[in-house]
Amino acid sequence: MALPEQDTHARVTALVEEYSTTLYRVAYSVTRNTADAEDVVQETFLRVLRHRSKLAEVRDYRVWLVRIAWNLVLDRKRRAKTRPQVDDFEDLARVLPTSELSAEKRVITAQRHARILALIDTLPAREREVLLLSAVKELSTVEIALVLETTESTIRSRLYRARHALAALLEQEGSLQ
Amino acid sequence: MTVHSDIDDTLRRLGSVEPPSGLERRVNLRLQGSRNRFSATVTRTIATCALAASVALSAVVLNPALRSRAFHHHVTAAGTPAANTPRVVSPVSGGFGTASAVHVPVEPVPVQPTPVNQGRGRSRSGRVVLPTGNLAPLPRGVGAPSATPAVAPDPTR
Repeated sequence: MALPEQDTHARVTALVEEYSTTLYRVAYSVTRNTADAEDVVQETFLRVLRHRSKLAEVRDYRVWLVRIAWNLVLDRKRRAKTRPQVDDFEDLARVLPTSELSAEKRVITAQRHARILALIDTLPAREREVLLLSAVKELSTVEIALVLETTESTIRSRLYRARHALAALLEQEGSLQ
Repeated sequence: MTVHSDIDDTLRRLGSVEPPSGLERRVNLRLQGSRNRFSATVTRTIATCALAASVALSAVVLNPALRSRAFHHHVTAAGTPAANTPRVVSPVSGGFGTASAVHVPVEPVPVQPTPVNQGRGRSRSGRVVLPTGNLAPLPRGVGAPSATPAVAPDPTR
């Protein structure tokens, strides 16, 4: 059953207030660009508005919205055919919350984060996606499984493989330096 | 710092990025703009449809041929008269629709008598019959058979 128009607008506005930050984090984990991440959030809610007749049927708004944002951000990345820019350490230091550190340490930390993010991008797609979604603190393993339409055990095993592969890459890189 | 703690730290920071301030307000503004655009589009569509309908209706009302086609279409579509059924036309001049375009003569139209309309030369069933009386002489070279010719056996059988 569809909601009345006024209720729909109120519901969408409430969803914006409640889930914008989560969706921004999901989008930013892939784009690593503030403007692109914000575009994805806006596009997600435009989709919601377009399919507002389904609002009454949705059981879990968080999973539903994250799935829309996730598909949008993957589409955008596929279209762009570019890797996220992780070389801009200053931007990364500004965006990633490291304000408790001194300026010098902040740059060093940003470089380390950039290196790890660059290595994450070299992982196989399935493992990379699970790793990035697991970084979003609002999402549980069950919710990630629902977003990616797979089982919780699959998510756990992919996460395990991704972390080990990433650790191996980092150690290999460290031994080369 | 171990490798795993490095990874955890990076993922933790990546997953707790704060959005730029005013994100919700900007999203709501864009949604509002989209809603307004949608309602404007709906209004424009309805206005266009209404205009097109009024133009079409005016054309139908003003043009007798279109009017008859529009208002008397059911006569030909629903009850198509049989081919041999005589069509009865009202002798009244004027009228509405098709009737206005048909000119029915006031006086009966005189018809020249012909063998066909006099019923001569054909039976009631429509078959041609030879006249029995006042037989005209057959042209030369045409012989009328005096008896039914014998049918030759079919060689293929």
